[in-house]
Amino acid sequence: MSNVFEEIAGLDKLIHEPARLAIMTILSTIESADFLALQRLTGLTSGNLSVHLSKLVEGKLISYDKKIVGKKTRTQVKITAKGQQALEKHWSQLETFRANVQKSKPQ
Amino acid sequence: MKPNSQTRFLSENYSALHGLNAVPVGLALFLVSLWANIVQYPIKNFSLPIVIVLGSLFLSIVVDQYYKKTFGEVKPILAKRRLYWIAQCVWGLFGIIAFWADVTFNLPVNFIGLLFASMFLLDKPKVTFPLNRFSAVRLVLSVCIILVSIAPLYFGKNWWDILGVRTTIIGVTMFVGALIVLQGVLWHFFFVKSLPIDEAKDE
Repeated sequence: MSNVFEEIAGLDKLIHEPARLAIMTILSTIESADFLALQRLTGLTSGNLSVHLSKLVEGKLISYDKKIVGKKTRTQVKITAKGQQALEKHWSQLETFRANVQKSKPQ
Repeated sequence: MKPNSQTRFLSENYSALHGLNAVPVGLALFLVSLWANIVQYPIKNFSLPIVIVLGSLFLSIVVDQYYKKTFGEVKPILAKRRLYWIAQCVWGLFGIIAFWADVTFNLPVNFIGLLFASMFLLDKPKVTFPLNRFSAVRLVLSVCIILVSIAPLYFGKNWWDILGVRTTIIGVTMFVGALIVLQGVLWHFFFVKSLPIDEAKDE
């Protein structure tokens, strides 16, 4: 059972947080999204979303692409190659963790 | 927070689920068909259908701005965007062939209608293949269009006369136009309902 706990401890906490996992999942299926679309898709408040996005940018898992359209700045959010790899690794770790828990269940 | 599969479905098909985008197209199709039904032949003045098409283009811009301002923008992956434009060209080509077949052969089956029925099922396969409320609407409407398209087989080629419609092709396009509007409104309603409730409203 100790292996299972080690596996949990080994999960990337930057991605594992539910709101950040949702953001990463969304970005992994598309090329980019703007702030408003991410807010609509996750249901997060703008403050919370900003905080989570900043953490993911710090971890270099996502990047901002800023463009000036007319008088406004439009920010598009993209997942980076590192982010894509980290997300895939995270899902496979969760799958392994789930399989190990199933195996260790008493018969 | 919504389940992972639903979040993926919504993000992958974000723009495709913006149902109101279909409303101007459906309205234009319905109104132009209605005009073709009541206009005096030979047609001398085409200004009304031109106004309808321009109005529909304007409405499309308004709807697009509404979605951008209210729901933001999601850019699908490049391969998906390419596939969308290829599909539109293929449907356009089939549309020309179907129209030619309807006008040339005068068969008791309407090819334009059958083409629209196929489009309702196959145009957005990522949305219409998994069984959900979006695909259920398209499936039901597609069956309705097929039934109307093959109706002359059972009721005769002139059955539209009973409803005051000149030809099968006008009747079918009016019917399809109305259904496109209905589908668009329903999809918009489902799309809004599918999005997670904002945290702020939840508290």
